[in-house]
Amino acid sequence: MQESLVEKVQIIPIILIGICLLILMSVAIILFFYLSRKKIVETELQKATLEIQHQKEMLQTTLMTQETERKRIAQDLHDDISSKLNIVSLNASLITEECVTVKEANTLGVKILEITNTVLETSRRIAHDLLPPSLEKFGLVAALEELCDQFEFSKMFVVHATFTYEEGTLPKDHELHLFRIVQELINNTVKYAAAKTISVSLKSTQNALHLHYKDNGKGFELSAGKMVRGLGLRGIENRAAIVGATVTFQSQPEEGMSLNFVKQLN
Amino acid sequence: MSHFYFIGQFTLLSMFYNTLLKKKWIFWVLVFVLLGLVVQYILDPSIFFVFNSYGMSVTQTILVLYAFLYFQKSLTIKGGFLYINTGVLFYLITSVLYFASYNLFLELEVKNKPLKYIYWLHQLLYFVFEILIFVEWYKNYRVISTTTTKA
Repeated sequence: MQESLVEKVQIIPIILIGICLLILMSVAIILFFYLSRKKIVETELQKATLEIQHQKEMLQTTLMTQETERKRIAQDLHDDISSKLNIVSLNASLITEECVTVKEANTLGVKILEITNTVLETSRRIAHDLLPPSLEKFGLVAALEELCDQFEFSKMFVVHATFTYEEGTLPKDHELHLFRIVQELINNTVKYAAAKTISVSLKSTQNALHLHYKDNGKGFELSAGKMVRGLGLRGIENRAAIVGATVTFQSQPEEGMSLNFVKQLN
Repeated sequence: MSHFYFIGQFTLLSMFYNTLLKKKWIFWVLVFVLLGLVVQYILDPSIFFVFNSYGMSVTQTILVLYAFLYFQKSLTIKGGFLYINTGVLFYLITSVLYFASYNLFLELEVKNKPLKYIYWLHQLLYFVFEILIFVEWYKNYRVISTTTTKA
């Protein structure tokens, strides 16, 4: 009995050591928890900062686009309309002068009529560029078809367009974004790509909306392309973000460019 | 007395973690363990007169597991009661061995030094646990009803 008691007493230091080890272990677990939590909070903070920065950039691009657009409109108005109206007013003041013969007055009148017609045409074109009436009146597909027809009419390249889009799948403002994206893409192709063919397809299924755009022009290095402001890829990305769609560009120098735009529908 | 202490501790803490973790199985584990304990006491009533090391160890281990799960949950989701959770994890882990060998201590009843150290150490750990509970209560004393279940 005495011997077994002695044996048991010998266990006690071992138990003490065991408890100390357990203390170490639990401290380690708790420290581990607090440290990883700190790290996670930090990463989340970083993510939030990045998001805010991204939003700021988006806002900046939007403002910049607005400014460029205003500039363009101002220039259009100044170059095309104001200058021509100046001529009209000049001619009109000539007519009112007393020494003008009837014949001269007639020629001036014809001239004025001509210029007024071109001014009318120009103002119609400017308004049309700002907001295509067909989008409002006949819907997205009609507007896109009209857009493609306009460019095909110029005989610079062939446009393959297939649209199977059910009207009303997207809200009106999103449709406008989509239209602007296609417009921007075609404009880019016309300005920079020197392409021979363009294919545009818009397909709406039950679950998703797909927009695919491809040209066989010069193409560009993607990373460089995004930096070039004129290309408006940022603008396209921003519009896609507003619509809530994912957009992927693919392009290589001399291999054309393509864009895939997918919007999930619920 | 210790029987009521550890069963009460297990029941209350299980309910506490049930509300924190929002898992139904915690409730079933509680029922299952309590039934197991009842069976143990019925099969061997003599346990009632000594210290129930097995019951204590099992319930403490389960509670440590809950505390650990709650830590894991609070890594991503912001939740309160972290001080209490720290205390539970810390005290229950460290005292598992103490309570597991409690019967041995009772039997020995020797005034030997290491045993005294173990008593002190345990008291210190319990003190830390209570301080953490106090801190928790102090930080959100408006929810007295929830925090007092722990004390």
